Amino acid sequence: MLLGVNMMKYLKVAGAFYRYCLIRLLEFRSEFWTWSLVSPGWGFLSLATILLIFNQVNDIAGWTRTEVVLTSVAGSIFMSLLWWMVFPSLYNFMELIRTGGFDFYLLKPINSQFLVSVSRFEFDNYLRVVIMVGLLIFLGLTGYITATLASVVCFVVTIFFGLIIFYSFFFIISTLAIWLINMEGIEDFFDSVITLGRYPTYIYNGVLRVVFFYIIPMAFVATFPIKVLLGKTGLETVVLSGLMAGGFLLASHKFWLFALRHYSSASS
Amino acid sequence: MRKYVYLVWISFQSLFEYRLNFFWRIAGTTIWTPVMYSLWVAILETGFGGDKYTPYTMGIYYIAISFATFFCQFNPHIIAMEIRRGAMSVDMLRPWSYFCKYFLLSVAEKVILFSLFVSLLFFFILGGKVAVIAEVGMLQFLVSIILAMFMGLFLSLILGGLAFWFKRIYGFASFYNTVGGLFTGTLIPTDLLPKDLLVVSAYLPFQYTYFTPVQFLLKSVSFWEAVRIYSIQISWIILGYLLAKYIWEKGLRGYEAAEAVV
Repeated sequence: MLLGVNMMKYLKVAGAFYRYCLIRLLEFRSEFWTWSLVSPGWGFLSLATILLIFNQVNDIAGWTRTEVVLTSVAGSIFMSLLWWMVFPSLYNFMELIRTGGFDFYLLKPINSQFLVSVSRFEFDNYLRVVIMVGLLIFLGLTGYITATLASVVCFVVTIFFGLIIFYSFFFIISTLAIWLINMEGIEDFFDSVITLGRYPTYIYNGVLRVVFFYIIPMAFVATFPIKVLLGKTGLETVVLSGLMAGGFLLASHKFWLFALRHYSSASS
Repeated sequence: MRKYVYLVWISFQSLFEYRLNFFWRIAGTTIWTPVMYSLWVAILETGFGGDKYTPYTMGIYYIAISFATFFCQFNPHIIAMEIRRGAMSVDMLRPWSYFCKYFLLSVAEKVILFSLFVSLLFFFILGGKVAVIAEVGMLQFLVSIILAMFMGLFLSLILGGLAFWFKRIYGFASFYNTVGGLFTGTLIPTDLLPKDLLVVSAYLPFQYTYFTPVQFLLKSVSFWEAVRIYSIQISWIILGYLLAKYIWEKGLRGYEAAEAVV
């Protein structure tokens, strides 16, 4: 019962931030519409690049055109969801550390990691998510890809676990702001890391493969979800992603608590 | 003149005060470069583009493109933020050109990056590992990349100047990146594009920002061809400057600061 009440409180807080951010965005309508048009364009540009290449070749590192296109689409969806729900809060947190506003977050009667993680949402990429999901559904309905209901569910679950993995990974990096204070350049780093998950991770060899499979787990952005969707791998991948998500989330929470012990306010 | 020297000094102070900021930006590029290289090596193995690039030259290409991307980019969001927060009104009272200030405050980063890249190239040349680059090619590349940097500067001033009318410019900056992404050579070497797109690309400024300077490193370019390329880049710089000047004059005429930060 208590857990249920607490859950409702957290959901209400997240909902309130969500509504506030949506209202704030709609104040800048021209920017909203411009971005709504540009954002899907970026997704289609990636697809156009892949199709340009596949006009000349049959496969890349054993991945066919269909698989690479699907990986790019899934990568676009994943990126857009991160930009929608994760990055804005992390950038806001780093700004709060720099300006001293973080103190007020610590005084609130709610889990501080949760509060920091839901304080901002950016809806600019919503249209890209809608269009890319629509494209996936269209490709499924027209028989371009064959997927069972079970594989679709596993795909969604793997994407969800992937989001948790990358939320935790980027949260750990953002927490370094408590020591480093000014981390304005981190946006380029986040953007680069997540953009690269659009490509099948099997193109990498040697050290790069170790790095991108185990240290920065880019395979969970799009490669593993698409393999699950196409039935090329089974429940073990979903279970693995779940375990990694749990591990990363726990690590992020432990690191957060460790960082808070070293936090000293700049001013507020 | 001394005030501008001080701005350069402030730029270095700021860079070394938050060294890790520079590191994060380099880190993003450092990850992106080997990934794009790996992707293109996998593509080259299928035969596509093999007549123009080998894995070796593709490696040089992406190292140089990464450097060019970083070196020629400026951040228009800084300008937009200053306009929105009213800090621009304070800058207008200062005894210096805002355009010069904006450029000079980024000099430190560019100098450090430039030094790192040139050192890397010389390291490879002295090690005999980069046989394709001649000294003339290096000089031609250096001239072209500096011109490309000024193209990027005025583009950034144009995008940032839109903040006089729009509260957020993320959409416009991303629109430029989206359209330019195909033609700048970052996603795909521009000379591997289909012929129709190549023709379009020749009339746009994008390929002259990153792709064209990098070509000086990969193949020998005649003196007159180099002059032609420099002329095109200088033309785009002049056009960019005039457009930036027009936008800023128009914008400042109607500018009202709601809050000024000293």
